[in-house]
Amino acid sequence: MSSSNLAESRTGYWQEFGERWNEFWFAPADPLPLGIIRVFVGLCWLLYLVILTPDLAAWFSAGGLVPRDLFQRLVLDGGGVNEFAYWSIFSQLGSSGAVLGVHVVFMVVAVLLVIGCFSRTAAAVSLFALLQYVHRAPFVTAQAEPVLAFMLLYLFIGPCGATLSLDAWRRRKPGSSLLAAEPRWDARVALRLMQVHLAAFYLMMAISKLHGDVWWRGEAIWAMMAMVHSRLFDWSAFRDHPYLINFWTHAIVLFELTFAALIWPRMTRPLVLAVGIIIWLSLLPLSGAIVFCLLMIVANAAFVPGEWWQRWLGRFSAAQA
Amino acid sequence: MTTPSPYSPRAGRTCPPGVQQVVSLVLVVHLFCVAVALSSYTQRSALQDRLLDLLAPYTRTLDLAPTVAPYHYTQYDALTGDADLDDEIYIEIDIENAGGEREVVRLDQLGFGFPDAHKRFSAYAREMAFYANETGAGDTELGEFAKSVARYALGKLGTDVGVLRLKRQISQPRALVNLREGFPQDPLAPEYERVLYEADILLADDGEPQVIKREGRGEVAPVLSAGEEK
Repeated sequence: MSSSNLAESRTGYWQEFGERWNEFWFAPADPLPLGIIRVFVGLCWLLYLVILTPDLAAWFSAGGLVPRDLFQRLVLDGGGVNEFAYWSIFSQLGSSGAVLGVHVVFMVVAVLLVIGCFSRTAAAVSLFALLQYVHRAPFVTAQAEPVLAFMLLYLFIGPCGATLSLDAWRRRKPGSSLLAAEPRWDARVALRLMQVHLAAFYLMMAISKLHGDVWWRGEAIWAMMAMVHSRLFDWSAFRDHPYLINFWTHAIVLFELTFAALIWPRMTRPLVLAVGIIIWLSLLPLSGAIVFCLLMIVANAAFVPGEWWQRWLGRFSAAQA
Repeated sequence: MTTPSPYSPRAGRTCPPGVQQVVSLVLVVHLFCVAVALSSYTQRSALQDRLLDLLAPYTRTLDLAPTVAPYHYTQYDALTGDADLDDEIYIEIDIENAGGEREVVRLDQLGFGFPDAHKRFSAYAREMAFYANETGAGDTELGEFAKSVARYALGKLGTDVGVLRLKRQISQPRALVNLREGFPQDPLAPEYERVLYEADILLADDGEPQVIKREGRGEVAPVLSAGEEK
């Protein structure tokens, strides 16, 4: 091959790569999936805040379980960067009344996010709000917060209020639908970020599980069932069904391990999404991580194409009419 | 009607080329941070450690940092926030109630009681257990925890004196034939409990909490975890 041919072939490769990159990240996409995800992420966020309300003073007030001295010793003394990274408005407030006041404001913002009023701003403020809770006591966060954080971030990046929102209702022309909006490049970026981050997240969960013997032995589900103080139900009856427990455990690992690969091809995607709903609904009563399980189902919706939502919701609204 | 080529421009609002380049660069940097954070969750190399330090202002601020963001049921490390599949760890307060009777209350029972709310109390107990070891190296931190619990719990229970116990509840194996000798069939029997830390707690006249650690720990039979069958 001559040097000019080689140079041409390299240029062709990079051009092809660039086109594929631009197509993947920047081809205008229907904002409807973002609108749907906004509503349900908003509801999960609201549920998170409602659940937190009765224990607010325990976790975030100066006289609670994480007073400033303890926070200083466990978090801020961990390094200079933590002073900046773990700044929280709740660390500046002392009384439980002030903490409650800020909490109520954040709940109003969550409602605005659900109904789609100043949607992107509501998503940005919601992310800021969530981080205030996380940063005040990072060591007592559970599984839901990291997922909620990246979903809110990507909702803020995309036009999450272009459909199914008060914003869309205010801007709509006579006769137009709340489901229809012009395809946009930033909708594509936001949806792709959700998809890529989620796929990596599943892979990380699966790889982490492969470190634990209990998952290899097929006994992880029993380990959850055997937690007498925190389980929601008495699962003792499952004691006599070892194969079911093994199957359930292996199914979770297999699902998480294959998600990152099988969610992308159109042929396998519906199957993966359907299995995902079953897996997360089965884990919900077992783990008691209600917000997290619901949030994972909602996050999976980032892989459902806009055309499908348009067809399904269009049929639904036609039936209503 | 012909099918458009995969890379032909589509209808809708497109991204100006200049903006596209900047956004592409930001995406690469962001996804690199996500990849470093997620891949460093279970075990990490010195390089990953260094990268995590460098990226900390970004990853910690956005709750991406693996050191504090617990993910999902992995049993990677017995006492990290993600070790939900390990034995349960909880805090209990032993008090004498108004009627002069002994009353034992778990810390999470003082909260809302909703499953997700319970997880915070569980994570708190695990963090406390992280410092409870035989060498006593974490006693200062344990003392801080105990003071916080004393102030909160004694205040809620309306008493000035009590005993705080940090306990590990050993899980029962699935097959009861694998029960270790001396362990009864009732999973709530005292044999399944192990005290990790015990202290007398009281509220002084000025309302300040005081903690006196008990040295002799009420340890019970050796641990038998759910998976540790004969």
